[in-house]
Order: sequence, then C-alpha cells, then structure tokens
Amino acid sequence: MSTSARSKGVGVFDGRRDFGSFISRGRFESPVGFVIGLAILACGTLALGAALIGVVTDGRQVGRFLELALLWGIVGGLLSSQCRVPLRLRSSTAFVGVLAVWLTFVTVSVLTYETLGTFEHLDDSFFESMSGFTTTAATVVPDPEALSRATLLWRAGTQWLGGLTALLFVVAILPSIGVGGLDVTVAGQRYSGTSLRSRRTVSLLEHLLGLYVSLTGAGIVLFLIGGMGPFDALTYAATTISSGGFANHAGSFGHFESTTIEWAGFGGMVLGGANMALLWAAVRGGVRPLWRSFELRAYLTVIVVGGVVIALTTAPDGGLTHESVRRAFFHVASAASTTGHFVGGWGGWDMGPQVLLLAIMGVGAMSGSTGGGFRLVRALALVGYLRRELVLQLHPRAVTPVRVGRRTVSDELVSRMIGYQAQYLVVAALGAIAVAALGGELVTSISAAISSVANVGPGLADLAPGQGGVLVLARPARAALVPLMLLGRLEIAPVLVGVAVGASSLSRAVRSTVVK
Amino acid sequence: MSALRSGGGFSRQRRIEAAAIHVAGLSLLAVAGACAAGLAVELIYRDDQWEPLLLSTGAIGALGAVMWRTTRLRTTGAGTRDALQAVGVSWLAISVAGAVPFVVAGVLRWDLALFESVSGFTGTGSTVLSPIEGNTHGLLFYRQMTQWVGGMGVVVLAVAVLPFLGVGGLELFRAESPGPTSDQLVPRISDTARRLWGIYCALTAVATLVLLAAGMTLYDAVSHAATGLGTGGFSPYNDSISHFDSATVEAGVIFAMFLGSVKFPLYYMAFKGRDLRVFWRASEFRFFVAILLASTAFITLLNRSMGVPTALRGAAFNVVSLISSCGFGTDDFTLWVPAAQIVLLFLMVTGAMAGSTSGALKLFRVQVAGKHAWREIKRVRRPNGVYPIHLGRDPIPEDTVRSVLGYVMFYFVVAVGSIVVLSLLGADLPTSSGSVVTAMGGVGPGLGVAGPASNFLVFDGWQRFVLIFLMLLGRLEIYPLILFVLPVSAAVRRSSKRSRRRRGSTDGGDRLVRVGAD
Repeated sequence: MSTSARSKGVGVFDGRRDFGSFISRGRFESPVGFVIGLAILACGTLALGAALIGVVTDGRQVGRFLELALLWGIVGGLLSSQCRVPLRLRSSTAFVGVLAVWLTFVTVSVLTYETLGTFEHLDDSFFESMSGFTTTAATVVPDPEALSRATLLWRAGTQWLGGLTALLFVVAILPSIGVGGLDVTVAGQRYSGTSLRSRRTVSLLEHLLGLYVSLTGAGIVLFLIGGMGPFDALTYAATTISSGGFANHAGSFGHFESTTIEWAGFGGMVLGGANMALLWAAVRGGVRPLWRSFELRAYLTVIVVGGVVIALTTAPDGGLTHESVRRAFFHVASAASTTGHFVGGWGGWDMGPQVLLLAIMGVGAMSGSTGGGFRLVRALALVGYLRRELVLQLHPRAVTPVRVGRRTVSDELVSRMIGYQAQYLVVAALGAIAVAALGGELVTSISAAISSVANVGPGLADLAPGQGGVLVLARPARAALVPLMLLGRLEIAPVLVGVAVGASSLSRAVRSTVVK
Repeated sequence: MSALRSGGGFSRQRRIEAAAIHVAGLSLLAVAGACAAGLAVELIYRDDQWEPLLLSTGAIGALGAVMWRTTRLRTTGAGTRDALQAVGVSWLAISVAGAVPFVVAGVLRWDLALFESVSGFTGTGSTVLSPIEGNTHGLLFYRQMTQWVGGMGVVVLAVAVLPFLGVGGLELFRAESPGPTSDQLVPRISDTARRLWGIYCALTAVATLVLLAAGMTLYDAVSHAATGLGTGGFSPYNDSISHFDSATVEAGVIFAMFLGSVKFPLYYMAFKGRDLRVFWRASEFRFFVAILLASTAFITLLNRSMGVPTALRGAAFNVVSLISSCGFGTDDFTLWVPAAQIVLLFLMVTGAMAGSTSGALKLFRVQVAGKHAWREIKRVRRPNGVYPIHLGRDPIPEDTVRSVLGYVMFYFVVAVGSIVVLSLLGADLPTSSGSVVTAMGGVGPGLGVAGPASNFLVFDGWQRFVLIFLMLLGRLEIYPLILFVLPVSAAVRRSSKRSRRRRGSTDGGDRLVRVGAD
C-alpha cells in the first residue's frame, strides 16, 4: 500500500510509533464513546488554553474557563479511559463516530457559551458553535471586540479544532470508507473496514497534526511581522489556516489597514485551502509533487484568473489601484479556500463579480484541505466526465477513461463524485427554499445556502460581509443554516448514514435492555 | 413526405448529397408554412400589412424549395454525425429565416427579430416585441405559428431523432417511438413523424375546442391552443392570459399546457390499445403529477397571505405553465414570496416529460439523477451493495444512467457558467439566474427584472445573444449544438494518439487504476 501511495507522491506512510496500546486500554469496547471522550478532552484543553491566555491579557472570565477546563477534562478523561477501540472497525461505526464527534463538539461549545453567558438566546450559541466547528465564518456576534479575550480565543479555537478534525476526517477516514470519490488524490485504496491502529493511519495523522501546527505557527510569525499584536496574531492565524474565518474585529482583516497583513492573510488562506497531504509530501520530498499535482495547478488558476477578472470588474473609475487589486485577490482567496475573512467586503461591488465569487465558493477548496465546498478534484473529474460524454456521443463504442490531469479515474469513483454533486445540489436547493420560506430574501437565501454548505459563511447582498452578516436573517432562517453547515462539512452521506446507523443500533440496544 | 421518395425536379442521381442542407430546406418550407398561415389571417382580418408576409413566404419558401430539391440524403448508412449536423444546421436556418418577417414588416431590428424568432421556434416565449397588441393580426398569428411549428419539430426531434442518437439517455425510449421499427434512420423518422404530427394536430384541435368552450374567440382559441400545446407561451396580448381575467379560461389553458407536456408516444399507445391506463403506468407520468400537486400545494401554502383561493389559482396556473416550459403568465410571480420563486426556478429546471414539447432537463433525468444520488448514499453504508436504478419495473442499463448523469451535469455546468457570464455582463442574480434557466428550459418569463410582467428588452445586445445561444442549446439537448460548434473529433483524435503513446512507455498513469480496483 505504501508503495502505491509513494508512487503518487502524496504521502509516505511509515509510522514510527504505534498508538495502539493507548487506544485499547478501556473497560468497555466502545469506539464511539472513546472518540467522544477525546473530543471532550480536546475541548477541555482548549478551555485551559483560553484561561491561560485570559490571565496574560485582560483577565476576564478566567475563572469560568478554568472551571470548564476542569469539568471537560474530567468527563473526557473518564470517558476515553473507560472505552477502548476494537482492532478493526466497521465502516458504519466510523460514521457514527464522526457524527458523534461533531455533535459532541457542538454540545460542549453550546454549554460553554451558555455558562459564559455570551449570548442571550440558546439558538445563537448553537449557531456560533456549529459555525465554529464546521469552519464556517457566519457569526451572530455583532461586535466581537466587546467579548473577553478568553472567549475570543475559545471562539477561534473552535475553528482551529474543527479544521484539524475535518482534516483528519477527510484525509484519514473518508478515503477508507470511500465517500464522494475523494480518494483519487489521497489514498488510492479502498476497503470496507477501517483500522485506526494501522500504522499508516496513525503516522499520517501524526504528520498532518505536525504540519497543521507548524503552518499555524508560520501564520502567527507572519502576522506578527505584519504588525499584529500577539493575541490577534494567534487567533487570526488559527482561523486562517483552518479556513474558518472568525475574526476578533467586526471589520476582519480590514481592521488593521495594513497591506502586509492583508497579503499575509491571503497567503495563509491559500495554504489553508491547499491539500495538506500534498504539502506534507512537498515538505518531505521537495517541490516536485507540487508541480505534478493537477489539482494544485487548478486551484492556483482559479485564484489567479478569478482575482484578475474580479480586479478588472471592480476597478474604480480611475483604473486599477493597488488597493482594488489586493482586495480582489484577498476575497477570491477567501472564497476559494472557503475561509470567509474579508477586507471591506464585497457588498459594494457590481453583481457580476459577486456572483463569480459565489461560484468560486461553491466549487471550494482542494481535497484533503481544511476548506469545504464541492472541492476542486471533483470539479476537475466532472470536466473530464463531460469531455468523455462528448466523445461517446460521436463514438458510442469508444473506450476512453475519465482523467484528472494525467491520472485516470476509475468509473466507480466518477460515479461516486457525480452522486455527490447531485446530493450537494439537492441539499443546497432545499436549503435555499427553507431559508427563503423562513423569511430570507431571494439572493440572500440562495447565497446563504450555498455559502453554508460550502462552509464559507458570508454570502451576497444583505449577507455580504460588512453589511451585518447572518444577523440580518430572521432567527428561524438562521437555524435552517445550521444543518447545512454540518452536512457540507461531513460531505452529506456520513451524516445520513451516521444518523441511520446510530438510530438503528440505539433501538437495538434499547430493545435488548427491555428484553433482559 | 412521399415526394421525398419519389424525387422529381432533378433526378435523384444529379442531386448533391448534403443531408444537412436537405433537412434545412424542408424546415424552411415549414417556416414558409407558418408565414402563409399568418398571411391568410391577415387577409381574413383585412389588415393592410399583407405585403411583408407575402414577400417572406415567397422568399423563404423559394429558398427552402431550392435547398430541398437540389440535395438528397445519404442513401445508406447515415451516421450519428450527419444526423447531429443536420439537426444543428436546420435549427440555425429556421432561426435566421424566422426573423425575416419581423424585419421585413419593420417591427423589429435584425438582432431583436432573431431573438423573437429563436424564442418562437424553440418554444421559449420570451419576447422583445413591445407592445405586442399594436401589431397586425397576421404578424401576431405568424408569431404564434412559429411556436406551433417549432413544437412539431421538437416532437420529432425528441421522439424520432435524439433517442436514436443516444442523446442524454433518451435511448431509453427507443422502443416507445411509434411506427415500424426499421434499421434505416430515414424511413423510420419519416414514418414516425407522420404519426406524431397526426397526434399533434388532433391534440391542437382538442385544445382549441376546449378553449372555445371556455369562452375564447376562434382566433384567440387557435392562437393559444397552438402555443399552449407547443408549450411556447407567446400570446397576442400584452398581458398574456390575464387579458381574459377568467378562471375558466385559465383552466382551459392549463389543460392545453398539460396536454403538451405529456410524452407523445403515450397518446399513440393509448390510441392504439384503446387503453388510458398507459399514462398511469409510465413512472415519469406519475412523477409529473406528483410534482405538480406537491409544488402547487407548497406554493399555495407559502402564498396563503393573499387568500387561499387566489393563491391556489395563481399557484396552479404558474406551476403548470413553468414546469411545462410554456410560460403563459397570469400573476407576476416576481412579487410572490422568495421561497415560492425559488420553487418556480427549480420547476423551470426540471421541465416535464421527455418526448413532449416541453423543454429543460425532463423529469426522467431528474428521477435518474435523484435515484443515483440516493444509491450513492446507500453505497456508502454498504460499499459492496448492488443498487440498480429502476424507472417503473425495469432496471436501467448503467450506460444509460451514465449518459443521463452526463447530460444533467452538462446542463448544470452550462447553466452556472452562463449565470456567471450574464451577471458579469451586468444583470443582477435573480435576473441572470432566472433568465438563464428560462432560456435553457424554453420557458419564457424569468425572475428579477425579466419577470412575466416585463420583457427581454431589459437585456442589452450581448446578453441577448447569450440567451439566444442558450435557447438553442437547451432545445437541441445540448449535444447537437456543442458538437456542431466544438471541434470534438479533433480532440478525440488527439486523446487517442496520446493514449497510444502512453501505452508504449511505462508510466504511473494506468497503475493507479489497478490499485484503485484492488
């Protein structure tokens, strides 16, 4: 297996350590309980971090965060130490686990916001938590600067943690359960069971964790050089590399009015939307894998071409200025990586560039990245598929494979990708109708649905950043976006299958208890 | 049609073998026929604008006759490419020729006339004629007839031509094509066409009678039956069906539009077997009825603030009008709540049944794409499961599924691309998305500023050319026009050369397939 992976230059899976003994110590054999425990532990660590940062900055709400850290630490520690993961997992269990992790994250975060009293209403806590952990940038905080530093760090941390988990999910779990055809770039092999103890998975997870942390570190350094304060540098780097998009200021990157910081943010977003496994391969083996990746070339092409078109169409009357070009590229990177940071926003643009931006959001980032959306590799496979359709129209008996770049994509994968495209469309369409039925305007609802499924956050018209964001939507309409974010983040099928499997195993458990 | 076989004029051998020109000539004769109908009405109403129509009839008819008589079809082995080319060329010829009467009569500039003509023959119904009512009866009747004739062309295209070229999964309906099953493309098409046109004329007559009974005058009844059955949507009145302000008339028009959006071979089968149950047995028909009822109910619910009876009346009419891709208007639905507009937008994308005069995706494709999406979810849970897709009782071959999905995705990609282009040309999002969807689906009214109460003069020249292209693209089911425009065969040759070169050398490209298949 490792040779096949190496031949594609995507990642080298030779684990040096084995986490296996750590994973299987508990008394009960419950992989789902184990990952839930881990998720709670991670939240506890984050709360502890927030408390520490709070101590060194403004000192507000430190006590609360310490209590929360203690609580989550105990609960999570107990749960994860009492449960163990069996040697081999069924893929259906993996789905339940993935769904459970996100739901746990959101629940913990809701409880945290409620304890802190950040929001007046429960649904706002819920929205902010979901938006955070799915790395969407839609926020219901009208003025982030009024929040305590510790809360801001928690808020940015939810995105960082969400981005990391999404990365692990996309790179380690999705390929092995074969969702949506993403394995084209990532692993190449597919089996119906997945083993968390395999050296391959474990070492890959380790490497990605390291890469993610060091990218965040690089972001912090860049932002510090650009002139941000240490706290802002930390939080902005966390929400940029995770392609999250939460900001400490209502004006996002525009707050700093610094060219250097904006270009640094641009770079960070581009990195956040890039395939991490590919970046890791580049770290290990030089730049050759980067040049050979068709998807990376397409990603950069989207950013460059989109940036040029938008710069040209949004140029002020006097012609291109450095500012308008910079903003065009910043926003294109923000859309392509599905981050959602902004400088001044696009509310004042003509509709044309805005619609182009929305289309770029819908396509989304590279596979194997923290970004969301339909993902470029699928878009490229779709182009190859359509090309083949044209050929088959003229030569019905021709045997011609679908290609992404030089790579041949098997028919099975293509079929999965097209299926995912259809699911994506249906979810976005139903979402748009739901948002509109609950009180959104036409453009607002359509863009809100697309933007939420793609985990971007801001949309067009009223929803354009700097115009009030999702707060302009009525409460029920906002609530309709919550499931969209989750569906988009987990690539739709895992959510449905997770719910179905979870419900059926739950009912089986209940039935067996009743019978006993 | 019998003249087609007997020859005459030139002897067969001396004719030039050019299928595209031959078919285009025949199509031009149909355009001349529409002109002649307009001329007749002009003379009956004694409006004095008959010269332009006479001139156009003569010119188009003469050109068509020459093109038809001096050329011939390939006698044996007419291939896919010939057929696609013939389809593409003849629709372009019809579009250009159809613009002539408007230009000669001096009511429209050439580019507007081209838009009106394409909108007519593709059965779209978006109009740039404003005001409509100031024109003479003859010209307006010609305008109605363009859609009726266009509908005839579409029915033959959808039932007798495209299924045999395997366009977008339509090959599924080969067996349903009425007429003797012959291996030869040409005699089969002409036999089938004759039967289809018989049904088409009979249905038009039925619709006319219904509209007469609903209280229209003969002129109105024929005009609206023609565009209702052709699911075009032109009306000789500025305010379309709301001109009559009568629920009975609306019900009659709904009936006509419904007739036009049902698969024509079903009528033939019902007539042959004296059995009305064939309709219900078709899974696409049941899906059609279900969608009609569900969206009418949902939109009524959304619009309940305007009073349930009014909401129901508006919803029923507009749902049928948009899903059948007819596009007659009563209420201005751009004033409805946004959610209702989004539902209407999706109805414009789905369209009605394949093999009818309606446009857009066609419901069976929506069914197949939906079922595919669902089975991919099931496959995630059970990766080794086998889930064939059924329409009705029989599973669909995977090749057909592939081809349907390809078409749906093509449609989607073209639509999104065009929405972006149209927006960059200056339209806002509701307007651009509404007009792209309406043009590709052949519906008529769009959203935003191009709604049913407006007209397509709100677009500027370039935007209108994009829309003209989209109307033709949607009507011809994309491939004939794309293959006509793009040098695809060159691309095929290139790619086969590349793969041959690759097979010679050893490289990683194919190894991946093997790994993936393990």
